[in-house]
Amino acid sequence: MAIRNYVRGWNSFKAALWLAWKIESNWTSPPLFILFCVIKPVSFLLIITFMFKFAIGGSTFDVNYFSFFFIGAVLYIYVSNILSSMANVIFEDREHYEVIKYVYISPLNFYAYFLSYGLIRFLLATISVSISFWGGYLFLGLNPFNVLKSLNLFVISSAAAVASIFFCGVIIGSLTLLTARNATLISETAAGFFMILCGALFPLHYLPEFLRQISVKIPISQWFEISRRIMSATATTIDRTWQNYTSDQLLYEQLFFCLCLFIISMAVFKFANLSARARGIIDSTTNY
Amino acid sequence: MKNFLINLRGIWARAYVRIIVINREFSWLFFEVLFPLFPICAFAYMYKAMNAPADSQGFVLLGGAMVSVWLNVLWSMAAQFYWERETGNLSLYIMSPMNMMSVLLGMALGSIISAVLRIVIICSAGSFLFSVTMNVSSYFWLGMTFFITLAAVFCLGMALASLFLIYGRNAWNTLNIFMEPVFFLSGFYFPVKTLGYFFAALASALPVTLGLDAMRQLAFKIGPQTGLMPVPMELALLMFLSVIYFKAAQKFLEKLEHIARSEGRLILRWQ
Repeated sequence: MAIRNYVRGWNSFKAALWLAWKIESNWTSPPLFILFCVIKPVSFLLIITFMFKFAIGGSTFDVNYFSFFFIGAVLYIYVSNILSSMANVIFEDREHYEVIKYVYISPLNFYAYFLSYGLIRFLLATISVSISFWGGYLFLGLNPFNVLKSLNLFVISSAAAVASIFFCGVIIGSLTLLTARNATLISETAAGFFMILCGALFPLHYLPEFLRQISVKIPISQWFEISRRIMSATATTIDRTWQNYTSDQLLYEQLFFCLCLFIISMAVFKFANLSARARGIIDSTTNY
Repeated sequence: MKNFLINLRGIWARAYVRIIVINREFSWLFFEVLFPLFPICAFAYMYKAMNAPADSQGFVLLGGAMVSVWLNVLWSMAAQFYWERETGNLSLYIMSPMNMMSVLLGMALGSIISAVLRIVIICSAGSFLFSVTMNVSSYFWLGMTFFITLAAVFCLGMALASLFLIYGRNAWNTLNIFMEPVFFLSGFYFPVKTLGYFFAALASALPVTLGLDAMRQLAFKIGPQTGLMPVPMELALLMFLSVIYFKAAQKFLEKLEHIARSEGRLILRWQ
């Protein structure tokens, strides 16, 4: 029985992955699609760079100081990309293509269906992140190759962080089962929420204490700090929140909170699914 | 006269849906306010961490509030005809005895009302959170600038709505592409002058760039130092852009409706 469930989940995952790729990519020519993947994150990084330029005024450009903001902003691309894709699954299937009832009654694992949509955006985000780091290396004097010195730590932390983003995506996607046609705004809001609480753009010690207590329990926050330390080749960063933690301690905490997030995502998914069925809105559409 | 009244009723009917939806789908208002508020907070903290001038947080707040207007223009104006076609309403509009421009005007009017509501909420919440101090040189001109900017931005939305009518999913994805680059080029989170005069001048084709720059000059102490050009010149350009985009909306609508009819795309779905 368990094996059959596992196989069914895997098949659902593969089918949805193929479908998600078709939906994401078949509307245009490959060059335009690549431009589409790159232009958004690059614009975001340009915003950060020009904000920095405005803030420092005539002062000298300090690469080490700037790298704190830049690394967070680049890694944040994963958060915004994956969340936006997973939040749109229900919206597209339900209100745009109107196929959700067929998807829903087919013998697939709906949880795996959500995950596979996010995987496509993860792959596309990886292209954007790579380009951004190359840009940082060539034009801004950053050295992302420092990751090679602590590759294991970086890989484990990144894997846990990406898994956490997927679990958050499932939570948000599940909630869209209960709302109408505003998946884009929900995903952008959630991405903004993580932008603040994970300290993607600023040190967490600037947050009020009660928000900081939440921040340190989100596994993406630890990932940003670990990555900044590794890429800047320093033991600590300008963020005073993590100054008493070693990188290993951060990793253990991150893994623990990642596991918690997985459990929460399963619970929210189950609740939203049952609730949407009880209210009869699985395939409801709006006309305004 | 009768025709005029029919069109007035058409404008009100389309605007009414936009206004009533605030009650009907409260989650839209909730997320449309929260979405710009989170980046505002993140960017304000970022400026704090960079020891930027105190007014920069006010710049971010004003820019963030205008984000909600821009989103409204993109998703509730530009993409709307495409969406209406998907849901089957577009053919009903065309069969009705009113001019299609009335539908666009009604959409814009309804959107402006909900956009103003959002801006008030965002500015109040942001001012409370970051204790932003404004130094308004003239409330009258600040108000005028705001409404002229809204008029110009929504005229652009009307032009885009007609333009996107004949495109399928491309329109949807094009809108997605436009979001972040416009946030960057229009200087939503930093003064547009930082881009340099050449790029700032290019970005001025978007009314929100000029409007935001003028409002910052009128509302903050360091505003005039960071301004791209004098406020009266920006206002004149905004009025000029409003007329241009309104005329463009009329032309596009006429032409593209014809193309869409002749190619049979008016009722084509999932394209």
